[in-house]
Amino acid sequence: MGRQEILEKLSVNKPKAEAKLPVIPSFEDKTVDLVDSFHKALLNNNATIVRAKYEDSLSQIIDSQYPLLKRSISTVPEFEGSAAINLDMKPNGYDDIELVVAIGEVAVAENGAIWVSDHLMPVRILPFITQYLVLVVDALNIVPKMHQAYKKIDPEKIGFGVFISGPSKTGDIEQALVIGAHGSLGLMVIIRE
Amino acid sequence: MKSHAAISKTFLKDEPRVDWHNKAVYNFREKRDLTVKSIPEWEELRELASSIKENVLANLDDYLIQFEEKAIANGVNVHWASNAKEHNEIVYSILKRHKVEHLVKSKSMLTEECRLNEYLEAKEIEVIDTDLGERIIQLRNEPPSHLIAPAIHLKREEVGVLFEDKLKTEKGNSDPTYLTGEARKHLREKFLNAQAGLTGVNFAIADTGGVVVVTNEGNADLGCNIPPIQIHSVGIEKIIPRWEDLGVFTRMLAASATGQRISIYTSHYIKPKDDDEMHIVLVDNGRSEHLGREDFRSSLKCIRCAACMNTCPVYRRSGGYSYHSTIVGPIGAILEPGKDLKAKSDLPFASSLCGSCSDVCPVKIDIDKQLYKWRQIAVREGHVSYLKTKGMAMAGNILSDSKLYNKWAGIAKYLLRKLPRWMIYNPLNAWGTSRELTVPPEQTFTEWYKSQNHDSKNELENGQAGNS
Ligand code: SF4
Repeated sequence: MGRQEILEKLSVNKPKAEAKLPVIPSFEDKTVDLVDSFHKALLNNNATIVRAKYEDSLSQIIDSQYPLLKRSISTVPEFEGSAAINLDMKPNGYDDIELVVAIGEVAVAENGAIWVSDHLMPVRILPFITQYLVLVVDALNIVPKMHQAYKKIDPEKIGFGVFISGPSKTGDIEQALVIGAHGSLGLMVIIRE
Repeated sequence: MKSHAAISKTFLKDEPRVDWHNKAVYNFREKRDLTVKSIPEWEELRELASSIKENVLANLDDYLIQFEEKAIANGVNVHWASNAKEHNEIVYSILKRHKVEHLVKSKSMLTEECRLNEYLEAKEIEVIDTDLGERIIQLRNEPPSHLIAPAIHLKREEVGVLFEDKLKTEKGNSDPTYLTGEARKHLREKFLNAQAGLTGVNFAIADTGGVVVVTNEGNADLGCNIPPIQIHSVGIEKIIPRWEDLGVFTRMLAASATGQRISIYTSHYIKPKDDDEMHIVLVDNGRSEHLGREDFRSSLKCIRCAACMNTCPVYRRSGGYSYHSTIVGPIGAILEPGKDLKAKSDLPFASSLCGSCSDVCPVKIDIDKQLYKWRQIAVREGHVSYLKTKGMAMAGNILSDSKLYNKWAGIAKYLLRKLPRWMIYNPLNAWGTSRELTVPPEQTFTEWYKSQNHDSKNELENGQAGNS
């Protein structure tokens, strides 16, 4: 077993001078309009953005964007999917899902990242296996930078969480940008303000 | 084993291809620059990232114990591997217990280092690399040539021909969108049928016991969230102390790598899903030993962003394979000699010591200084040929004495202008063979600086005007 051996070697070989952990500033810039900045960052990441009022109908917005997608699952109360989550199903059973609608719990203005976790999304595979993904973000949950986002999230309360900032993509063939690698082919973000 | 210079010579023969490779790689660097310039606190972030990592190195044993404790409390199985062999055996024992025949893999530089694929394939387990670039080189039976763009040495036509053969795609179609779509279908099948998924990680958080995996393609998440067994291979230097430290590193990693503000998926795996199994294998494989090398230990701060190779004039014009190593480019050239000095003593010489790598490094590793120090060790231990030894001894004297340096810069300027072409582009000079060396300016920098009425003695000799 390597454990003891590794730990002993490390304790002998590590630098002896004290190296303090720094305090991380918040780097907040109060002059930035959070919703605008979030919107721009997402555009940059090839997402589709809809800015809606709280009272606007989610179904209308989603249906008009994706009229042809039939098999859907939603964890957002105002949008009813065609299928329900089945906790007994194996994850690969969701392969025919075309659309997943979920709540983005925290969003980051600087880079467009949106936090989705098993706190509100009981089946981890859904945002990845679906063909298209819709994330609904309350403008009040947009924070300036990653520092604030990590402060807002309590890791003790989750088993899994992911920042998603756009549709999946790759540049692995001659760096040519291709949207739709293994994860979703498209991401629509509905910002409710 | 052929040396860097010898392999480069072959690569340099195809001039248009060298130019193409150079531009493709530099493209990353330019995008990085744009993004970095738009982040006002970039230098502060570098300082933070660097001091967090310094703290990690000084307390690595304690953080690993904390990480293990937390992970076990989260229901994760933690394993320790002293070396590549132990790592492979641990992975195999997990797979064997569950009768796994199909494994999907992502983010696999560490498993590349451990040669896991060969090991498992010999035991009749199908291992599928799922990152598009990694799949491409796996199908070609090649190692990666870049840290984050493993197939950057290939042209679209070559991928087209490969897919025609292996995935039965349309003849003559090398459109990247088409080929990516076909790879998506091919790999989706593999994901759906996999019995286990394995990934490397970008960060392992001591106070949380969780790991963070970053991709643009989403392959790691399909690989972890479909099969019932999830394994993460973690180099022990990937530890960061606190959850909040992620705020610093996630802002820097993609920016340094591709110029993105953040990657598409930044996934945090803390507990196993449902009743499934989650395993973490902590791998040493020479890292604890490297930590004891005072001059070189800071290379363990590396977050594998690849910025140093994207900016390196030598990497760009010699290609990843010229480093004959798993980790290529400037960071490879300072890590690999620690593993096998005799076989890798040529790598510290694969550099112009221009220092650009150190300037872009997000965790402030003094790469160029370490290259120089490895050279001295390689020479001292007799791993370097006579020609290089002489040149190095001279270069060493000149570089370490600023007066001599200034004198020689003047002479070199004169020589490059006056010497006949055959002397500059002679076969002994691998870099000259297919490169037009830049015509040096009329004045050296010091001459120019003096002519601008500065007191060059104080400023330049203190080295303050050199690096911004
Ligand atoms: S050495 Fe620095 S620049 Fe190079 S890959 Fe590592 S972190 Fe990036």
